[in-house]
Amino acid sequence: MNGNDAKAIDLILAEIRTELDLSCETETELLEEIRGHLEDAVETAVFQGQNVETALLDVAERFGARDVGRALQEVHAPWESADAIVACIIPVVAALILRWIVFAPDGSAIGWQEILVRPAFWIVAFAALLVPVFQFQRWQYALLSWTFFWVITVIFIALPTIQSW
Amino acid sequence: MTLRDQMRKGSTEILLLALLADEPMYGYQISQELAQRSEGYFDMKEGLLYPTLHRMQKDGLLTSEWRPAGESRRRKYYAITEIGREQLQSQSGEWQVFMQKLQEIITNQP
Repeated sequence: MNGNDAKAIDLILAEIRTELDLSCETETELLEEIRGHLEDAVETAVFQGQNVETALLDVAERFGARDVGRALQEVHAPWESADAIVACIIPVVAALILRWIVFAPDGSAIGWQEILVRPAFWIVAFAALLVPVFQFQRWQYALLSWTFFWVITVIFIALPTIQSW
Repeated sequence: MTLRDQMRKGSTEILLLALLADEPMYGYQISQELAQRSEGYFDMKEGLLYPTLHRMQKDGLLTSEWRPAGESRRRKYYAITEIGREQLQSQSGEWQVFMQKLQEIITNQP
């Protein structure tokens, strides 16, 4: 497939993309899948004797780009919202558990040496990393959750003023 | 919308489950198989296959995985799940009853 043909497919994908408002990762995956379909369809048509330009026009018409974009948005949008809510809940839960681990019953915070030997701390730490990975299959969420976890750990331990929460 | 379109719309899910019950397939392969096995009768707008596949995956009827296709490409293969097989079985029964009853009414017309 030459550069012009690839451009024609890019135009179809761009048309679909105008209807999408999803996460970058989801959109990239959807468009990669559709690109593969369009390339296969053009290759088959050319193999059957059509010229590339006609094949591209036929494939584009058969595919129905705008309708597909709209329908894909409808399928994925509610799930993306649900994912985002769950993704926000995970670090919040981790923060609450961490707060319970870090502070002694009298309200004083324990130090780094003490906290780093507590198994409960490491369980929460790994949960904050692994739950998003298994829940969403996305390292981006996991790293964000992990970063959030360590930021609040530092805050809880290094800033005693937070004890008054 | 023609009668055929309406019927096709209602049967897309069972058609896809039936095709994928044999082996995992990628989107373009599914559209080709569907057209070939039905001799063009179920020739649908190819793009609309994807929202249906993705919805079925969200519903737990299908799973998907990317597999390499050549050096620089990969394809997303869909496979039926256990829930999908159960759904296929129950929908097949439902369709058979539906067609039988429809046939009875049509053939018994005065």
